[in-house]
Order: sequence, then C-alpha cells, then structure tokens
Amino acid sequence: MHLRNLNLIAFIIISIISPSLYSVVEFKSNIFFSFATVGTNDAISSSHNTLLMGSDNVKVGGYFGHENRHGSTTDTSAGGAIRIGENTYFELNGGAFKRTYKYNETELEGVGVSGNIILGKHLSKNVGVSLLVNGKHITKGMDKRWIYTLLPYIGLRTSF
Amino acid sequence: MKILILFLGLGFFNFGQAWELEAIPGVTVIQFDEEDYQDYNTAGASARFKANFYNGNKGVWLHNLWRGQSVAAFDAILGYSYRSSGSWYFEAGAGLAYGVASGVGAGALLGTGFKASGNWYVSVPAIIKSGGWSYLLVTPMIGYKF
Repeated sequence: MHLRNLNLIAFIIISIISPSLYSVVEFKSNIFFSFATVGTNDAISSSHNTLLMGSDNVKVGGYFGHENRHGSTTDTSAGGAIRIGENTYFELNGGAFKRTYKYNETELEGVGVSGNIILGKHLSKNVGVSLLVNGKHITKGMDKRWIYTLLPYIGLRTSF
Repeated sequence: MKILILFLGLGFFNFGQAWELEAIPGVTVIQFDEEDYQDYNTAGASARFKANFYNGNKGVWLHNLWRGQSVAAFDAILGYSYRSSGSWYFEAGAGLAYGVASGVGAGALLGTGFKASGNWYVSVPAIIKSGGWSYLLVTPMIGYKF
C-alpha cells in the first residue's frame, strides 16, 4: 500500500514537471589530452561525456568518464549529473569508478567512487570550455587512496 | 645570435599591435589512506601560458611552463612566428629557450587552432625545446584575444 502511494506521488510529480524538465535533450563530450616529455614521458587522454535533459537552466541526466594515463592506467566512471545554468554553468557529477592497471605481467583492478565539480562556459552553440575538479576514492582492489585532479576540457555538444 | 636577439626585440616592441593569451592549468593530488603509505603521497601542479604579440599574421610569442612537484621549475621560450589567416589557422615559429632545470636551447612552435566565439579561441600548440634538456609538449590551450 505504501509503495503504491509512493508510486502515485512520484507519477504526479513527474507529470507536473515533465513538460518543462524534458524540453531539451543534450549530448556533450568534453575532451582533454596531453603529451609531454619533460622529465618523463607523460601521455594523458581523457573524455567526460554527459547526456542531460531539462530546461535551459536546469538539466539532469548521467555522465560517463574515461581516462588513460601512460597507456597503463585506465579509469572509467559513470553516474548521475545535474547542471545549473546555460552560457555559464555549474555541474555536479557523482557515481562509481573503476581503475585498471596493466604493466608487463602485472594487472590490478580497483573500484571506488568518483565525483566531479565543473565550472563551464559555452562559447557558442556547439563549443565550450570547462574546468573540471575530479575526486576519486579507491576503496577496494588496490591500495586505498584519494585522487584529486583539476584539468580544463574542451567541449562539443549537440542538442535536440 | 645578436641578430636574432635584435630581430626578436624589434618584433616585441614594434610589431606587437595586438596580443593574445593562451593558458592551461593542471593539478594532481594523491593521498593514501594507510598510515604506512603516507610517504607515497604526491601533489603536483603545472601551468602553461603562451602570449602572442601579433601584428596581422606574424609576431613574437612567449611560452611559459611552470611545474611544481617537490621542486618548482620554470621554462620559457621567446620566438617569432607566422600564422595563416582564417578562423581555423596554422602557425609555425622558432626562438630561444631557457629553463631553470632544462638549460638553454632552441625552441620551435608548430600549432593549429580555431576561433570559438567572439575573442575566444582554442589552440593546440606543439612546443619543442632542443638543447640542454629537450622536450615536446602538446596540449590544447584556451585563448583570448585582447
């Protein structure tokens, strides 16, 4: 009985907000890459992708992140996302995270949680830049650690 | 060498009708949970800046690389370059390089970029230092034309 009531309430709320909440569907892909041979060879390729729905100023949806460092360490993360603002925006992501490390015969896999705080600016309808602060916590499979990074991304998006 | 310095100086003071700034920062911090692993904690930061003093499609550029992990280091290249016209451009240049840790050498620039909106643009310069401690840097940068 309680579950039915909850379903009914959720259905009513979604019905009320849906015309404004799901008026825009946007797919965005943010990329970052770096190759540097200062001291040691350091190659990074990273992408942060979102599929968001909502109004011009509030969008919700999901994100998927993929990052490779030095060819040996690969991080993947996925979870929920909410963005506030349009031309200049603030976005929060939170989800699960997996790291794989492969070097010669060594192969490790760690899992944990990941979150992003993003400040971004859309320079045009399709191109934008963003500053992404990422926090990851490996909780299982590898030595437990917190990893924080701050990197700028170039974003390409399409909406319909 | 004197002719090259004079050439760069003339470019800096006489040809710099407009200037642009390209930049990219980066920070990484790793902190282990276990007490025994605290010695492996790391914190590093870097930033790259490229300032262009262009008149039309040519002029002086100055590239700075700041990086700090245990010991802060600074590298700079001052050069002269040419850029193709259009909203999607290519540029190439050469100059002199100096680094606190990497020493003195020659620098080269090969890059491309596109105008994003208004005064904003995105560039992908490849910076090469030869001599002393040589290196290659390729990373997209966000630029603004003043």
